[in-house]
Amino acid sequence: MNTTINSSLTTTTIPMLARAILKPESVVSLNESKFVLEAVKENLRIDGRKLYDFRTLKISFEEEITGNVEVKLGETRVIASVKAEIVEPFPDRPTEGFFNFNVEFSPMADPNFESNRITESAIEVGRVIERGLRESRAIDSEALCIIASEKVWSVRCDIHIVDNNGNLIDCASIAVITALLHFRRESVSVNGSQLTVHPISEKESVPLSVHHVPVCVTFGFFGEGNTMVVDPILKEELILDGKMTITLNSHREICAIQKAGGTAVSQELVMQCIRIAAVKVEEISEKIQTAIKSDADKRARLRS
Amino acid sequence: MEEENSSNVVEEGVINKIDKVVLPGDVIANWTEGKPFRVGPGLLQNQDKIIATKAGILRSPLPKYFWVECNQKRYTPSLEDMVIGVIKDRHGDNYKVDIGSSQLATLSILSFEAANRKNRINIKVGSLIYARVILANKDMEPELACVSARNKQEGYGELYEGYMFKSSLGLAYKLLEDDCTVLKALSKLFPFEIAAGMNGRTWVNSATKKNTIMIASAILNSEFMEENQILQMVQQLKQEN
Repeated sequence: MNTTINSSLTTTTIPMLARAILKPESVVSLNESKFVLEAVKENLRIDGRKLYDFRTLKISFEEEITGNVEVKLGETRVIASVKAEIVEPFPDRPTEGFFNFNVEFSPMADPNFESNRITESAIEVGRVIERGLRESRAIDSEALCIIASEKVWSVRCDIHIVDNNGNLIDCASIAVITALLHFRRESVSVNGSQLTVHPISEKESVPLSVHHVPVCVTFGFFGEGNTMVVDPILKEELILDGKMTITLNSHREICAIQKAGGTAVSQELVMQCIRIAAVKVEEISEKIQTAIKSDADKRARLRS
Repeated sequence: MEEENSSNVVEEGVINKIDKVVLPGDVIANWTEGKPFRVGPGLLQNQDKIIATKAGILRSPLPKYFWVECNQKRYTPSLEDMVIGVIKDRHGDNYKVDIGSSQLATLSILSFEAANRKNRINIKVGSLIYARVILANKDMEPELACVSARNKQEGYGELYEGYMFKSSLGLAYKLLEDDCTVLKALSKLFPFEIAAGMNGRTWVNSATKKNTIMIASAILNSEFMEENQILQMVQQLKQEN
């Protein structure tokens, strides 16, 4: 499927205008806005990164239990926690289990988050991650079936935004997929229609079936979509003219793309973003696997 | 100094707590009528007890004067503070300025040097200004002025170009000290302009964007560093660039 865009259309480069952001809790002055835009044009970012650099990624696991992960992307912190329980399936889908994703925006993460008001961007975080996992079939609802029409696993993933310093989608997506990979449910055995759930002390717990590891990479656009940064920090996010999130796995398969409004972006730029995202996802997937492995080794040593 | 204290006023119990961490609710001293005891910031007198109301270190460099040195990020306006504000709005003859406090501050357009009704100051909404707090009351909106007490500009007014970043209040106070290590070390690398606001906001400007970003990063990193670590960090910055 090749679409050629008539590239003989020349676009006049409109100078990037600095705007002050004067929302109640997010205030960015004209000076800062102008500085960020001009620095980006010189390939500099306010925290010293280059345009395509991700911030430092730190993954840590809660001790004793499984499926509870804290991810730090620079100063953005997200905690994901996975739990599973056995329930009855829907009558029209007797062999499907349930996956539920719930994002909580703690008011301590950002003065703009209010505990009773859910903003559009908040819903977007949950939806993009869920889409990336479900529609790419990374998570398998059918694998959660125990006894058809009677008992299935219902897996619930709670995502808590603890500190917002920009790019919640990427940080949360890393937390979610790591938690799903790390989580262990109890082992069950079925004898006819008799179900036995084996506690973890009796029989070894079982991981969820996760087919591949999708990770989100977010790009920020300044001006008329001609300057682009990867992993925007909070101040950049407030000044951005457009944003695009690409969810890929390490096999270079695109799981989801999200671009909700914002400045128009050329086909070439989208392809360039996908290529950059593929490289970043490979690095991040490796970090996730390393973190999970070192945690598994630690637990094995504690048990012995 | 300790001798003077113990013979004068203060009991042993207080001296033990000086330069140590105190927590809200800690009783610093038992006070009786007639004993001179200056209650500084972070301390409260409750009948016969002096209690700490903030978490921090109890300081007493001068006899009889005690306070709690604490570090926080939330700014509460107090008189004669020098702050950096963002102009949010203009209502007639007043600007509404965000200084990070619970309420927006008011800045009269006449509070500038050589400003009168004929010669009006015009600052764009969204600009940065360096101002002095002239009214700070917890029940009222704070008020600012862009002139010193002698009605001269003396550094106040609009800040042009540059970059502003936020830090904790403790770091902001450190920058305003005469012998601030990080600023002295950075000044040896290249020239720059800096305005430190006591509301935790700092404005920096230099010849290149790279230098400005370097200064901002160096200052933010220096908050919990020792003097030799700061000098080392600045040396490293010089070598890398």
